[in-house]
Formats: sequence, C-alpha cells, structure tokens
Amino acid sequence: MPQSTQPFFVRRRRDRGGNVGVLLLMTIFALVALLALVWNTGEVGTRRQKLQTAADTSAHAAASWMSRSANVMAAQNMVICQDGSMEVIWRAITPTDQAVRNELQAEQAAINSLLANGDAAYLALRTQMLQQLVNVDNQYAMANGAWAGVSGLAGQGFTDPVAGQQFQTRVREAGLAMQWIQNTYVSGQPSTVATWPGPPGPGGLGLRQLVANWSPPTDTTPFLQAILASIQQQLAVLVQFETVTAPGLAQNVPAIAANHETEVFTNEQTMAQSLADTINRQLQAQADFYSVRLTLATTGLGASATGPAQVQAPFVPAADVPVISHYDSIQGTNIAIDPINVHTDDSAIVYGNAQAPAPPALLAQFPGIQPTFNVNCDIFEGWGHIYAAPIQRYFNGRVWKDSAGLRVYMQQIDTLRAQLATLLAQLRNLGPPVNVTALPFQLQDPQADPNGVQETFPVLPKLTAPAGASDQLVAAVMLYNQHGAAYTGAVRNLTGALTSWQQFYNRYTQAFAVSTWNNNVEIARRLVIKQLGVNKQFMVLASYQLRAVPAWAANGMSVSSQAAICDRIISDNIASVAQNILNAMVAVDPRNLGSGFLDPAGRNAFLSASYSGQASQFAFQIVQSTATQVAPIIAAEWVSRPWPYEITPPSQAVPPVVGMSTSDRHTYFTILTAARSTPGNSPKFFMGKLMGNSPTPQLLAHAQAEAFNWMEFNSAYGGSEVFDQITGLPNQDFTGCPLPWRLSTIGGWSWNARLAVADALADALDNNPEFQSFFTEGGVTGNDPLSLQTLALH
Amino acid sequence: MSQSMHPRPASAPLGLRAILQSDHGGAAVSFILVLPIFLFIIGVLVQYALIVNAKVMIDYAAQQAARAAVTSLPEGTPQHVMSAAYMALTPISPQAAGDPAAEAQSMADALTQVGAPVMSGFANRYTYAMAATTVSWQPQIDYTIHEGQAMTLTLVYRLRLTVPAAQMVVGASDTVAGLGGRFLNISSTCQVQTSHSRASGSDGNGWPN
Repeated sequence: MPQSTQPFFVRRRRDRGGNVGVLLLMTIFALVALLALVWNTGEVGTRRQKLQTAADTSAHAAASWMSRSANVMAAQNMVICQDGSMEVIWRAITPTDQAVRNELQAEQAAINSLLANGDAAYLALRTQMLQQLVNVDNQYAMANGAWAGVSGLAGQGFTDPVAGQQFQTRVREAGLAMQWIQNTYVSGQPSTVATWPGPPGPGGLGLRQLVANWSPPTDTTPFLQAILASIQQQLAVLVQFETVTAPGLAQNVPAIAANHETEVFTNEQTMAQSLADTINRQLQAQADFYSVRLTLATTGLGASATGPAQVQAPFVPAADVPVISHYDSIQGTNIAIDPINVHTDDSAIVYGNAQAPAPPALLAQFPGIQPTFNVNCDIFEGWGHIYAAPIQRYFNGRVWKDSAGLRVYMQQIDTLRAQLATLLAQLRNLGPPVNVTALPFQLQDPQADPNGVQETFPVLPKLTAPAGASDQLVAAVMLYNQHGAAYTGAVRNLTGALTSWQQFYNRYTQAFAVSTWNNNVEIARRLVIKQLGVNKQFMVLASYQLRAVPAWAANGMSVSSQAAICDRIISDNIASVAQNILNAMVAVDPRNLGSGFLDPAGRNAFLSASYSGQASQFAFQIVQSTATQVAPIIAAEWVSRPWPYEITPPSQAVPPVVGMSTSDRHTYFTILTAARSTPGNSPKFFMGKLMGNSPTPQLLAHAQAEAFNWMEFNSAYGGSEVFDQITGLPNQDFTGCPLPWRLSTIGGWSWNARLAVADALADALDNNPEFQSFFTEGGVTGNDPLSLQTLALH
Repeated sequence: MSQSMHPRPASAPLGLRAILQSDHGGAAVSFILVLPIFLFIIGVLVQYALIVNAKVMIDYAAQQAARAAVTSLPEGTPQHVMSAAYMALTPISPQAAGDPAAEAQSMADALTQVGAPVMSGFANRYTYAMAATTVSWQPQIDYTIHEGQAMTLTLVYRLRLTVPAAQMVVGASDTVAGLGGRFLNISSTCQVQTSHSRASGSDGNGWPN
C-alpha cells in the first residue's frame, strides 16, 4: 500500500521524517527560554540600577543646592561683617588721627619752645645731679667722721657685755658698709667684700663715673633737634595715614555700610526663599532625563502634604529667633534675653560691689586699717555678654585683621620714637637705656657672730648706744645717725636723679600710637557690633536658638564659670586691695623692720619690699574669700540662663557625641528621594508570562543625602565643641556656649553634599505622603521604623 | 534503498544475518545512542545559562554592595555592605540546610513588617548567601575620616550547580551552608567613589585634607 494511502497516524508513526526537526524545536525552545531567563534577569538589574542612579543624583543634587545656599549665606554674612568692620575702621580713624596729631603737635611746640628758650629743666637737672654728687662726697666726709668718732669710743666698757658686743659689731658693719658705698657704689671701685655687689652702673661704673660720663654738653640743641626731626618724621607718617584714609573718611561709611548690609540681607532672604523652587525644577529635569518618576522628602523643614517636599533653606532671619523670658536670681526680676545681643544691657549678668571684711589677723596687727575693702564683682558690660552672637566670631577676627592695615602707620610712628630713644642715648654716650642698680637695702656681714651666723644689717645701720654708754659716745652716735642718714639719702637721691635724667625725654620716646589706635578700634568695635545685634539684619541657622545648658553639662559649666569668675574678680581687685594694705603696713611697720634704717626713703622702700608679699597674701585672702562667695552666685545665674547655641547641644557628654546631633541633621539638612519606574521604561521582559515575570514588577529606589560641613570635626573652626566649659573670646570676655561659626566664618564656606545611609527613612515616610505612595506602589506598605532601619542598607 | 536492492521474502524467518542486514530500528538505536550525548550537551547549555544568569545577578549584587559601601563605609557601618550583597544574591541562592541565621531571619521579619513580598524560604536562602558570599574592598583605609575615596569592591559567590552531569564539567565538590554538591566560584568587581565622611578634616582654608 502506498504510503499516501495508509492511515495518517500509522504513517506518522512510521514516518521518521521531521524527528530532527522536533528535537531541534525543543532545543531551540530551551535555548530561547534560557536566553529569556538571562535577559530578564539583566533587564531588572539594569532598570534598578538606573532608578538608583536617578534617586542618588537627585538626592545629591538637592543637598548640593542646600550646601551652596549655606556657603553663599555664610559668605554673605561675612560680607555684612566686613561692612561692619569697615565702619569700625572708619570710626576709629578720626579720633586716632586727632589724638596722635594733638600729641605730636604738643611735643613739637614744647621742643620748639625749648629750642627758643633753652632747656632749663634739663640743664637744671644736670646741674642738680652734679651738685648731688658733691653733696654725696660732703655727706660722706661728715658721716665717716661721725662714724670714726663712734668707733673710737666703742671699746669702752658697757653695763651689758652682750649689748656692748652687739654695738661694736654694728659699728663695724656701719663702717664696712659706708666704705663700700663710697668706694664701690659711688666711686666704682671693686668691692672689698667678695659677697657684696659691685658698682651699680653698666661696665662696672659707679655713680661718680655715671654722672661724669652721662652728663651731656651744656648745649641741649642736638637733643632737641633730634627730637624735633623725629616728630617731623612721625608727622609725615601721620600725613600718609591721613592721605590713605581721606577718601574713605570723605564718605558716609556708616550709611553706606547700613545700606549694603540691608541689600545683602535682602539677597539672603531671596535666596533662602527660592531654594525650594530651584530644587524642584532640578528634580523635574532629572526625572525627564532618566525617564522616571522622582519625589523629594524631608523630615522637618519642607515636608509637604502633597507632591514632593518643598525643601526649605535651613536659615531664618536673626529677628525671627524668639526672645526668652528668664528670672534673674541675682536681681530678683524677670528679664527678656535677646537671642542675638545676649545677656547685654538690661539682661546683663551683674552683681555689683561686695564689701570684703579685713581678716581678724590683719586687724589684730593693724588696728587702724580699714575694716572692709571694696571688691568689684562685675566686668565691663556684664558677665557673659555677647553682642551679635551668631556673627561675632568672624566679626571680631575681621576687625582685628582690617585694623592691622592702618595699624602699620601707628607702628611706624612708635618705631620712630623707639629709634629716637636709641639716638638720644647715643647722643648721651649711653648706648641703649640702662637701669642703675639701686642702693641695696641690706648687706650681709662678712664676719660671723659668736653663734656662727652672718647677720644681715640695714644700709646704713642705725646705731643705738648701749646702756652705760658715756655721754660722749651717745653724742657721737647721734651725730653718726644724723650724718649717716643724710649720706645714704644723698646717695639714693643721686641714683634717682640719674634714672630721672635718663628718662628725661621719655615723653618723646614712649610708644603711644599703636595703643591709641587699638583703643579707638575697640571702642568702635563694641559700638558697631552692638548695633549689628540690634538691627538683626543677617541670617542664622534654623537650629540657632537660646537653649538651656544641657543637664549633663551643667555641673562642668558651673565649675568652669565659677573658676573663671573667681579668677577675674581676684585679678581685677587684688592690686588695689594689696596697695591699701601695704600702705597701712608700711605706716605701722608691725615687725619693726625699718627701725635700723637711717634714711626715710630707704626705710619706706625697704618696708614696701618687705611687706609687699604679706600684703599680697592678705589681699588675696580678702579678695579670694569674697570671690569664692560671689562666684557661685553668679555662676548659678550663669548656668541657669539660656545661651545661644547654633545647634542643639548633644544629649550626652562629648565625646562620644561630637558635632551636629542626628536630630538637627535630619530636621534641617537631610533630603530623601524616591524613584519609581514609569510604564514606558519598566523592564522589557522576553517571554514574560512564560518566564514568570508578569505582571511587570514595580521598581523602587531611594536615596538620602545631606548638606554637611566638614569643619564639624575640625577643632580650629569650632568642631569638637566643648559644651561643659566656658568659651574664651578674643576681647578677653567669655561665654557659656560654643561660639557659632557654621554660617559666619571661613569654615562656614565648607558646606558640601554627601550621600548618606537612609537613617531618616521612617520619618520621611511619615511626613511625606507622596514619598510614602512611591513606596506603597513599590510593595513597601508598612512603616515600621526598626524594620526600615534593618533594611535601609544604603 | 537497500530494501529495494535486497528484498526479503515475507515468509522468511528473521535470521541474525537478516537482523544485522535489516535497517529497521536504526533510527531508534541512533537516537538512544545520541540521546545521552544530546541531553548532556543540553544540560551543559542549561548549566551554562544558569551560570550566566547567576553572573548577571552577582554583578548586580556587587553593584548593590558597592552602592551600600558608598554611604556605609564613611559612616562606619561596613556590615551594610555585606547585607546588601546577601540581599541581592538571595533569589539565586538555594535554601541552606537547618535553621536560618539570626540576621537572615531578622531580614525576613523586617521585609514582612514593611509589607514587602518575601519569597519562599527567604531566610534559608539568605543564610546560604551569607555562607557563600565574600565581599572585600581596596584600599583598606578608615573611610570615616576621609573625603570621597575611589575604591574597588570584589564579590565572590559560591554558586551551587544544579544540572546533573553538566555540573561535573565546571564544578568542584564542597559543602556550603549544609548543602553538599558541586560549586563554582563566580566573582564580580565594581569600582565606586565613596561619599565624603562627615569627619573629614580640613587644611584650614576650607578645603578637605
């Protein structure tokens, strides 16, 4: 039977044709399925990568805009500070110019008068010095003669042999000392006692040589002309100063600065307001570029009920920071603390004066001493005062740097005056100015007494005739005491005259210009920065607020502020109190230290030197006692007050927490994005239904980025801030919080964007419905923070 | 053709010669002889395709791990890098024998909590991925104190081969996560630049060290 006539199935069973084709089809199908598997896997991965890239770039770009705005804001705040600094300099120029010119012109007039009329005072001093030298020699002759009279009678018998022996020793010491004064101190010979000092002048010169060598020619014209020439040079420098500053002075700089500050502030506000729109437009452009859906989320500023978050700039005008009401425990009243000019004016921390009682031991020794001492317990403008707190750090630094430019002229003037001093010394053959060693108050006896002790005796010693002394000896002792006192007094006067003579032209050589400039700059600085704080025309970080000292830091801050306050009260008061006590001690001389001195000047100088340590101890005791009582009261108020923190203080001690808190970072500086695939660019699956890839999965990607400041950890720029210690300020005041810097310093220019681990995801989902809808569409329907934290792997 | 040249009488018994000379069943014999080879070749192709598929997944996992490294290393959480790799490799991982690892169970629970679809045996698959995956990167520096750094991440995954016979060609015997069999190491490398660390310092002029 022909094949064509056989039944179909029989024919198919027997027909071997197409076997290979079936196998081939099966094989091809298998291969195609494998191809689809690989293709589809790759497709999903590629699409997810693209989504992730879109989410990353949009988050990073948004954070970049925030960073840029922060950097520009910092720069603009610095411009405002620069305007203020310019005003400070402008305000300091005129008073400085007037003060320096007045002084130089007064000096010039004085020198011209001396040139015209002769320098009578200078010549009189020289004449006086020469006369004093003659007087010294005369007094020596008389004192020595008197001593010889005493010495000749000192060998007679006395009622008390011990007192007699002491008298003889004292007479011997007086003779030795007198010879030393005349031969060594006055005449410049080497000391015969090895342990005693040599001549008082440089190069082993005694007073006699100093007077002779230092005496100027009778014609003082060269001195006066040198001074006049120097003054003219100084005036020339001042003219340069005036020429350089004239263009600036001709303008109304305060008005210009105020206008510019307002203009810059307006720009700041415009920029802050436009940030959300800028970021949204960029987001849309990126969505178009990647052909995906994108949305934004924030956890604080800018979270939106509909659509993408409207990212707000993390800045607010300074005037928007709330004032805090506070009960002042020292004054007993409620006060309003300004968040910008903090603890100033009516809200300053002030205590007033305290009356410190004299210690019983002091009163016992000096019954006539004042029973109480006034102790000033305040500092200028109050404890912890801060003007324009958010910007003062840069402002103060800017003023100091800006003032340096014009300070150069003042330095030139002071340098010319220092050069004049050297020139005058050269004209007097003196070389550099030197100090003449004062006549010592005491000398040590080169011979030991019977007990082996080398006693120290006054110069010159006062003699007292022992009991049983003859009338002749008593008279001789009186004569010695009289002439000895006159002699040492004459020597001390000559030393003083030499010193005065050396300093005679000091008025023309002492530096004053730099200090005048610095003082005027400081006065203007305080004025301008206070006004900046009143005007409040600048931006601050949105996290800037008056806040309480953190609980964990309160004790440390209390200890730190107490120590600083205590130290300041002591250092401000100890000198005046010590001087009062010293005056009383010198007048009373409770240890009778001055009884052996012959001349009052030497006695007073010796007593001042002898009692100054004890007076300082009493003064320290008095002031410290008061300071330790007052400092805790001030510190308690200090710690209870709110302080201007630029960021939320950490909730626990530092370290380990350093820099901005996570909460502040999330609230003000964090942006999240979510990316969703669109129907048009979902994964294109090959044999999707057959391979189990249907329906098309809804892909989702998210990213978190933040604006951050890498100065956060740089101690040079305020990073690693210390929250439990006071902070020193350049003007020597101090404050109770870290100094703001993030929006007002060079470090404030260092904001940048970074991708971050999505640790704010849960909050973002809570606060941003559209963001949450993206996740819901992507299959994430729950918002369990702990689970999200577990799954937020990037 | 030979049938027409040497016709056999219909009534003649089938002798050995006849059987040997007959070509009936030749195709079947050929098929039987060729089938194993054919199946082996198919098996190799399937295994190869599965390896390629795994390679695609491993590349993706390396990218996921690298993306996690971008943010996690500067923040001092390198464990996120590993977890990202495990998570990406879970779909191609077999279920590990025994109880799942605590981290795997934690991930499964977290996915359930957020309402995400969780594949069958997720925790055990994740456990296998943990045992089968190694992730390393260069340079080995403290990323928490540096600005953005270029880094190279290398991921090595021990793929369990599943096609009988074909696995003998490329795999090596081993036991991973309690599963015996033949395995193949597949690696992938990815280069990225890490994010800036928050703690990166400055040279004092506003620029990072």
